[in-house]
Amino acid sequence: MNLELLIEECKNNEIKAQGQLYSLYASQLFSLCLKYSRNYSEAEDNLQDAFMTIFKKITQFKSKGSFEGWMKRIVINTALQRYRDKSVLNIVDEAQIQDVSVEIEEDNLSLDFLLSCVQELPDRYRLVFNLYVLDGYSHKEIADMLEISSGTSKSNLARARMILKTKVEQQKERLNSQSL
Amino acid sequence: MSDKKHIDRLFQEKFKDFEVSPDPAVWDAISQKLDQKDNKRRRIIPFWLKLGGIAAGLALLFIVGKGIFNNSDSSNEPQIVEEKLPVLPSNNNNNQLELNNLNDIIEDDSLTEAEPPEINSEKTNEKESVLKDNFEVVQSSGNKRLNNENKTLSNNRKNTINTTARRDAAIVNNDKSSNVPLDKKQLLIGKEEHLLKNKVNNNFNNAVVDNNTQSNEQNAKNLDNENTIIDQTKSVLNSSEEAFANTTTEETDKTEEVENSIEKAIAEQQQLEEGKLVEDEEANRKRWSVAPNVAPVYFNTLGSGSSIDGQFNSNSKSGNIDMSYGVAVNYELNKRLKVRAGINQLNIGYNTNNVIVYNNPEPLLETPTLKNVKMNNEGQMLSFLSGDDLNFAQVPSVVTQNISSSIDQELGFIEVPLELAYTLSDKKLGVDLIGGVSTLILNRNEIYGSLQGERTLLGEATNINKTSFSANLGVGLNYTVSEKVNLKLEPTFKYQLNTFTDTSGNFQPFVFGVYTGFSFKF
Repeated sequence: MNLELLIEECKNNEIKAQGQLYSLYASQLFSLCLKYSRNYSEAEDNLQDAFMTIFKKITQFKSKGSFEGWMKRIVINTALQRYRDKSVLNIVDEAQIQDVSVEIEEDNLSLDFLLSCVQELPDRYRLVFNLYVLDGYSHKEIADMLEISSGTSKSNLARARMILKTKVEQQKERLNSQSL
Repeated sequence: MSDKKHIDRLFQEKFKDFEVSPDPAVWDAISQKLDQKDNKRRRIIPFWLKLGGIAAGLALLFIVGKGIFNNSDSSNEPQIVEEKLPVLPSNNNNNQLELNNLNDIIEDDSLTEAEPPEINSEKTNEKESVLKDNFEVVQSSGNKRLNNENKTLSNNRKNTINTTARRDAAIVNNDKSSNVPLDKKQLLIGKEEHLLKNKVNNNFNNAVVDNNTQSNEQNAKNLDNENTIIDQTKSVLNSSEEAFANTTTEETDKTEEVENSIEKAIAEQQQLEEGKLVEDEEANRKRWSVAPNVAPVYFNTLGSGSSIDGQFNSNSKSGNIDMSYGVAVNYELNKRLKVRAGINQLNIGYNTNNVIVYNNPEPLLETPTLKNVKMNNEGQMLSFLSGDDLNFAQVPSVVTQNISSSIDQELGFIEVPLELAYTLSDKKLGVDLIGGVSTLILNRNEIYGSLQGERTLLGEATNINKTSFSANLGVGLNYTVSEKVNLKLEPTFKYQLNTFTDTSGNFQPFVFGVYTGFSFKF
């Protein structure tokens, strides 16, 4: 299936093409939604909203950039929008902390567990961690996207790392005690 | 065993190939939503594709126009109601007898008028109770209806009506004061009208009464005074029952008028609210634009044929390039669809070439004339032959000398186009597809003959419809100069449907124009 043709057909609102596009990218984008959301059902909502936006705005997509990247940005924006409205992102009362080296030992931790760790992070930490670590945005970009300062972004990332480290270590201990 | 590594890397590696299929219900929800949207879209497109869509456009334009005119009407309405104030009979003898009493009342009334409105309305209530008998008819019929209406009204609407009713009352006051030197009886009746108005007002206000004790005390004092007035009024009213019987019927009318104005106000409010809903969707857009335009227009026929005479069917025709100019008004129905109407002066003309024109000494004698032309005096002296049909060897020498003349037909129309424009692209350089019809009203009809280089008016064509139509199809290019100004270039093809009757051969006239101009949004 030629992607460009599929996009053209989606631009003409052909439901069949839209279905094909969905089945091509749904699982990839859903994983993105899961990382950025608090839970499974919120991720589903985000995916639905994101695809509605994709089909609505697809006429504005110019074939210059990567279509996948374009869709990912829409998914991320949809997820961010949810929290932007609630203005939970810009909490400034916390003392900004410096990044510390957060090293842990690799172990056979399940993906499910790691996902739940990410999802359980407070919104402002989860978003920054996802954007910076998993999707490769710079602190400057994150600051613009979340309408926070890049100092806050850095500080939130450091806190996210510490929380994750604690959780991972606790899990390891639990696993070790079980296996003993 | 495991190495130590940065927590970032742990997550990055684990999430690298992370993919989870969502529940199929998600797609079901999406496709359902898309379906709804799609239906909406599909309804719009064939809508315009059909020529019948133009009729719908006309209707929409009509509705929009109507809405605007209704809006401007609403501000005048209360005044119109007041102008219909009944002119009351002034020649009632019984009433004349009571003039002295009336004078007293008028004095008192003028006092009450000077008091604050809250108190006034309280007093009015008091008065009403006394006057009740006389107004039973009005109260039972009018009040009931008014109350019913009151229930059904939303708060917003109530406000509108209150202001209307208040304005009414105020105008009654004005009317009254200007009528003061007139008949006293009339004045009293005016007063009663005022009371009724206030009653209506009160109904709608749900008897807004000042609750604070100070004014209550004042009211009590005033009410004492009022009692005397009421007694007087009573006697007056008893003696002038007849007059009031008249008044009552008129008052009933009046109440109905008030009601009508209320109903209108409600309807308008509803219209406004509905209008607002539509507007809210795309509140920021400027929908109207006006576009003066000029166009070089080229006229010719698609098939070979003649509008003048059958003998010229195969003659070559050369179209003139004339000018069309006018102004168009655009209204945006939505982001993609515009309705346009306008008025243009359209001049067209074409030459039938290779015509032999010669002076005929005996014009009425079996000479070839032109079928569809009513000749003037000069034209009657001439004869015309198609050069294509002639074998020159058989032609008298006088004819060959005058070879290769032409007959020029020139027409002018007032063109009223009504078109829909569908936006294909709305970028800096926008592209529209335009389709519609024009009504053509003939305002110039001339046929010239070029004889030996001299152009003479021969007469006018007899086969042109005074009113005709053309089907228009064009492409509009809009270059956005600024937010409000667009530069327009619209090559448009207009096929004339019934401009000519009784043509010969396959005469299919068309106009091609390149309409250029600016459009200004407002």
